[in-house]
Amino acid sequence: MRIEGSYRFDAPPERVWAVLQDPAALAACIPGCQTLEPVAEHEFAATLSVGVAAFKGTYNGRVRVAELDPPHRYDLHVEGSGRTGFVKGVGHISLEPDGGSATQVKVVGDAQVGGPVLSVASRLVVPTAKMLMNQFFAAMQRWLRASPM
Amino acid sequence: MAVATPTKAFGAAIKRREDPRFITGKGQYTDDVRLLNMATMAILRSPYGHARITRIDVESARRAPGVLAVYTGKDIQSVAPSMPCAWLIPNSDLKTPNYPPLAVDRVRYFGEGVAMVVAENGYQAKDALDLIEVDYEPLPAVVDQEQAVQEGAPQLHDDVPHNLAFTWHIAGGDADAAIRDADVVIRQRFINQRLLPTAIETRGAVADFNQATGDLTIWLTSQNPHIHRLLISLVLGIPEHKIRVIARDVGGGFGSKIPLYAGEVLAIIASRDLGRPVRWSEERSENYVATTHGRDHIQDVELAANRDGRITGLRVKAWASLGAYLSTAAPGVPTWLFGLILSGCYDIPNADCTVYGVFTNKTPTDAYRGAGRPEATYLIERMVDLLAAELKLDPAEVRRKNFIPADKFPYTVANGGLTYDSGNYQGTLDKALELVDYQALRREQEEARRQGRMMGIGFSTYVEVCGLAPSAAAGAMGFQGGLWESATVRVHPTGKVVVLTGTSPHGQGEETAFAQIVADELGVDVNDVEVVHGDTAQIQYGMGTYGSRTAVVGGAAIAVACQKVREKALKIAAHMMEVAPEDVEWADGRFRVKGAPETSKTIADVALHSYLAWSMPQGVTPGLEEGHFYDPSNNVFPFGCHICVVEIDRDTGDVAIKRYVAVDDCGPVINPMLVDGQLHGGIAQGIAQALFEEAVYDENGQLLTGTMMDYAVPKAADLPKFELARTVTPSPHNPLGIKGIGEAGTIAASPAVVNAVVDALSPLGIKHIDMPLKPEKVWRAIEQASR
Repeated sequence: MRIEGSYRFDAPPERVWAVLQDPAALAACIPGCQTLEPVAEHEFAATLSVGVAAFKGTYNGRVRVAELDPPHRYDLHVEGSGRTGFVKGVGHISLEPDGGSATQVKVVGDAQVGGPVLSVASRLVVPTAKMLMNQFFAAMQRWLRASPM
Repeated sequence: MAVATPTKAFGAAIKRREDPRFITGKGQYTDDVRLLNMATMAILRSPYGHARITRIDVESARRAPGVLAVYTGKDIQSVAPSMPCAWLIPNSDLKTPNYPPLAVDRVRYFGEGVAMVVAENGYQAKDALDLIEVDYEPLPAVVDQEQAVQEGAPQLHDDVPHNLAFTWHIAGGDADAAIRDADVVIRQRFINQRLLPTAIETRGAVADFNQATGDLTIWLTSQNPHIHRLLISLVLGIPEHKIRVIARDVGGGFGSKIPLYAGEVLAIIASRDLGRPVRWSEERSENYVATTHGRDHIQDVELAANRDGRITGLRVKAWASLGAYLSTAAPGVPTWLFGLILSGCYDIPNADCTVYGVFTNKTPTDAYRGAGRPEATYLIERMVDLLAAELKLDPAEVRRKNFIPADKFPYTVANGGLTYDSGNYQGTLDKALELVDYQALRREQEEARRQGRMMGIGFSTYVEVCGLAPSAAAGAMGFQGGLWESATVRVHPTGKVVVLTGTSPHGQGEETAFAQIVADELGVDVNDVEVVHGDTAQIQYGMGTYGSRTAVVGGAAIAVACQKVREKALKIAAHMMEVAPEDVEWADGRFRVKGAPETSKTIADVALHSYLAWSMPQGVTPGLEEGHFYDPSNNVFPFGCHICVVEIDRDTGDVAIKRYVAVDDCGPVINPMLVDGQLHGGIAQGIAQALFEEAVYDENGQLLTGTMMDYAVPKAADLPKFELARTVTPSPHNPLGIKGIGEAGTIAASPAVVNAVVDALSPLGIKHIDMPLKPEKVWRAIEQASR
């Protein structure tokens, strides 16, 4: 599964970077995130509750940040599983200044999805992943707007 | 009020007596069984096609609300180490690797059971499944059977090198020489795709083990309750006489309800441990991964012929995907049921067939409507069309040239494995050509082509082997069972009749057909006959319903048992009428004194007399009941000619079936409405394989077509009107002359449709497209050929 997206933030890359790396922001903005516990440097254990049709259920997984090049790019390794299936993938995230005070965040991800979910809703996997990613970045944009400079 | 006894019930289009209970929701399916104190079981299934299980933690599931028990593969291992394989084909080096009911340390297919939960209700059981933690270490998977036998392919079983379960070979004559010396050799590869049987009732079980008496009662959705009883006894060590299997109403099987499944064994284990009834019922998506699949062949075929179209030899090499483990009857399907009948209805002197049975990371395969014979028939019917195209001959003409002539029966095929009992292949072809008005149709096709429309005409002249027999042949093939059938005919004092059959009809309508046989044999009203099936406590023994054997073998057993009843009744009738038995004849459904027809007794008269038994003839015992075990001397060989007319939408590749004409010969027909029904359903399934259905896996062994949204079972609107006709060529050895018709439609239809589509595309130079002929595939072929 290949997934791509691009999101504009009304803040310079340094601020966007800080928010994207902030566990409190991540916990608040990842759709359905119930827990996000640091287990090592740049690594978290997460529990997600997804409420989307065929994907409904609780997922346990690990998120690891690697190849950090602040405030330009980093990789996000995700591994998780739940009753409906499993996912294993990596997202390449890059931040580019957009004018003086804005940032374009680009995501290019590649993931392997499997399990019963693939049998019942293979055509829905990519749109659902895209929807959840959009929700995440929309929440991040709100978080950034609401947080003090 | 009973109406007057019809002069002949056999042959009458009587409505199915089963239907009122089915269409009013009063059927008794397994999932309708509700017992006091019943618990429900659910199975956790592997999300991987191939993986090592490194850890299973069931502790939180055990503590979940309502949970009564949780089992993993390790818990089951000592109780039931392996599921059974009951078709041990000889001379094939068959490997039967261990098949645990729940995976122990490795999963080998997507959907394989890993753990199970028993809880007070189904919701609690499913919720608890979520709490089971399993760590998997994914392993490389292999889903293609040809790749699976290659050096370096992922290995499924440590004790099966190259994933090769068996190599099976059968030959007659010298196919190599025929191919070497031929004027023409046609070579083609066919993919006979994997199918999901999709019975409307998914599988399930209600197991009720009585800890005090040691009796097990189990309601199953089974095609063969006695075989299930035997296998359950062997796997779990419960004595056979302590097991009662009930399969009252079964919502279709198509072969998928022959095998013994892990879920059934697990429900019994749980009930035995808990001392409570345990219910298990598949969901549809679970059915698609946990119930056996069908077909899945790769076939390389070579056909040798003379310039005039006479076929001289056939050589086949087939790779059959068995899935990850051997299901109950799996090894027999791609071998004996496929390889023996490869020559079809053609007189081919040299034939050679090699089959590789291969393990792959997919759901196990087993019988599916036709079981081996559709794979064989498709292959030979496509090859004959390819030959006709190569020689620029009419496909009807090539068939005519190669048919086994009607005067050559009984006919033994080149490999020596089958002797066709009777046939008139030319007869069904001629009738079909006339019905479809072949010459006019070809003219219409020419006209269509001039207008730029793609119209095609496809033939399938099939013969199939069914009513599988005799038991000695079953033994020679390694089938761990007999192929006879039992019947008990019990006449009550009032003349009402109960028939107990060892077959196990599950939608085919034999409760009606069998009553028709009895009505004529005993001179009773068809409504005065009750047919009992699907209960091992009531029926002494039986082999079940599959391979189009129920009417042929089970019906014959009933007819012979009725004749035995009549023999005894005649003696009693003679005694009652105070004449010698030699002076009594059976005529018009009564015992009559010869020369004095006004003096007569009915079966009812005799029955009452026999139960009162105040005055019986010398040496005749009271009561009126007889049984018979009928072991046929041969299989039966129904045949026919199907013609399909299609038109293809050039812009979308969509195939529309314009006409479907089928002339079938299954000997004398017990009930034409039932035969038509079997043909309608059968042809629908054959068309489904040709145009719609395909079980698709990705390279990791994930089933991608896991719902009815993705697996295209045809709907009524996808199917044409069926124009049916028959010829009647009785089987010389069957007591009723009948031949099976349950699978013929499916066997015949797929090649007829594909031959029609390829005929439509032939002006573009297209020679073959593999099934299913989905619009996209046809469109791509058109695009590529038009370039």
